[in-house]
Amino acid sequence: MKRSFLKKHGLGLAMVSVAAVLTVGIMGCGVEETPLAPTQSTDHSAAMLEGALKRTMATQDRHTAALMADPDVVGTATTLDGNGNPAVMIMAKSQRALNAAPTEIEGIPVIAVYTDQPVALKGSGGGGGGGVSHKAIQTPPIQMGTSGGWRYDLANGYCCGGTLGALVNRSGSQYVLSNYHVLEADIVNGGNSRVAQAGDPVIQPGLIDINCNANSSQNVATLSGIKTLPGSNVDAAIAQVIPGMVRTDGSILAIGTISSSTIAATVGQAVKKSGRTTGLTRNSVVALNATINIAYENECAGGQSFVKTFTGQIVIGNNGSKFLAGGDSGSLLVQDVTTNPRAIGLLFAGSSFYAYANPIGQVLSQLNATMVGN
Amino acid sequence: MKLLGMLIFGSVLFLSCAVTEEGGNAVAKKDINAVMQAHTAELMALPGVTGLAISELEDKTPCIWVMILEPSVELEWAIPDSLDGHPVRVVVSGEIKPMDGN
Repeated sequence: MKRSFLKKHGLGLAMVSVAAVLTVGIMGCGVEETPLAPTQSTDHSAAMLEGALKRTMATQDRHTAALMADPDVVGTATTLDGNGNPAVMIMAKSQRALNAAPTEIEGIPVIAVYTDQPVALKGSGGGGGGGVSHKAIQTPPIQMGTSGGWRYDLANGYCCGGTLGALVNRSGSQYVLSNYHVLEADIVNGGNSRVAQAGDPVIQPGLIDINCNANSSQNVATLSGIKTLPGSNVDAAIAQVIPGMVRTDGSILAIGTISSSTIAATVGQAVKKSGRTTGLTRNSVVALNATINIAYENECAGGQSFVKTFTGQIVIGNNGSKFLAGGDSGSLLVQDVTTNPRAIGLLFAGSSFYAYANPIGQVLSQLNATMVGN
Repeated sequence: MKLLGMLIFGSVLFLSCAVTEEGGNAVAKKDINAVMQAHTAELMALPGVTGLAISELEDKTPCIWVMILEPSVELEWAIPDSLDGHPVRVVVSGEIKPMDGN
């Protein structure tokens, strides 16, 4: 129960709990040093809690090496559970490690939480969005704006992936929207003896976040087999949702639900996106109607497949890849507003200077789909 | 030869712009998107040009962006300051690639 409580409320609450531990510790010291100490009972309770925390920390220390022998356990900590009692926190970056975590250690409750590398807890680097991890496996039904990809996207000594950007409706069914080059671009037998085809699983998180081991991921959708490239002007792909695996309201990590209607881009328009690598980032549209050439590979780390000339594209500032970086492909570009932003484009390419998006109207028209939203 | 080709191309574009601008008051400007489209093939054929787009100057005047791979004096010279009366700005885009990860 305690574990599910933390799972439900995520790392934000966990951080609050850790902060609470620190706060209690500081208050405890203050009580001992100040002549204007609170009542005896408060003093007694604080001292008891401090003692319990110390014992928990000692227990944590004794078991940390064994716990972190699991490569997917990225850290341990001492925290407080929902009742304010000391507990050992195990931070795991895979569902497998989370399931393997003990429920208690030496009689002390254990709280296991999803996390990314510890740096994500500081709110810097790839985490984005106030501690929300865009790379960690989620408890289904999952939100979009998360790491994902084709289950078999492993070839030539590399694995590949991108972002599961948004949810769309097509012919009465829900589909995950991402890029062709994230989900469907393996078109030669090449280094993995297979090509992407309709019915293949799409996983969360993508192989790039689970050491290329698909067993540490979950199937969330199946490829539609609709290949938009090289024939069309959009780099898009959709995969039909496996029932129960994706939130039906189309919620995107760190953005929330979006509008079901779309809006055209304008120069100067404030925009944001939620992606696997850079998380929630903001910038503005700097140019429109762009013509650009993009070279595509025929499989993960494979040879050149074709060069596609796109026209009518949206250009967004990228400021040294702070807005969009490798792994963010497939992110949905939306208005930078708080409530139910409207979709503007599907991000697919970039450099350190600028990011590029297919206009969402063209994407939806090509796929004969509509956005899932309010 | 590449540099010579760029200079010749640039001169032709420049003359074309100059002729248009001389009579600029008499005729309405062509639509900027149509102008960009009309010159897309020639501009995209220049080595180092990565793309074209429509943007705005600081005063909100629409302009044509010519995106280039890296700073290049030769390209700056080869690309005209305006096309059919519309200002042209050369901007460095870097290499544009799909943004998947591996």
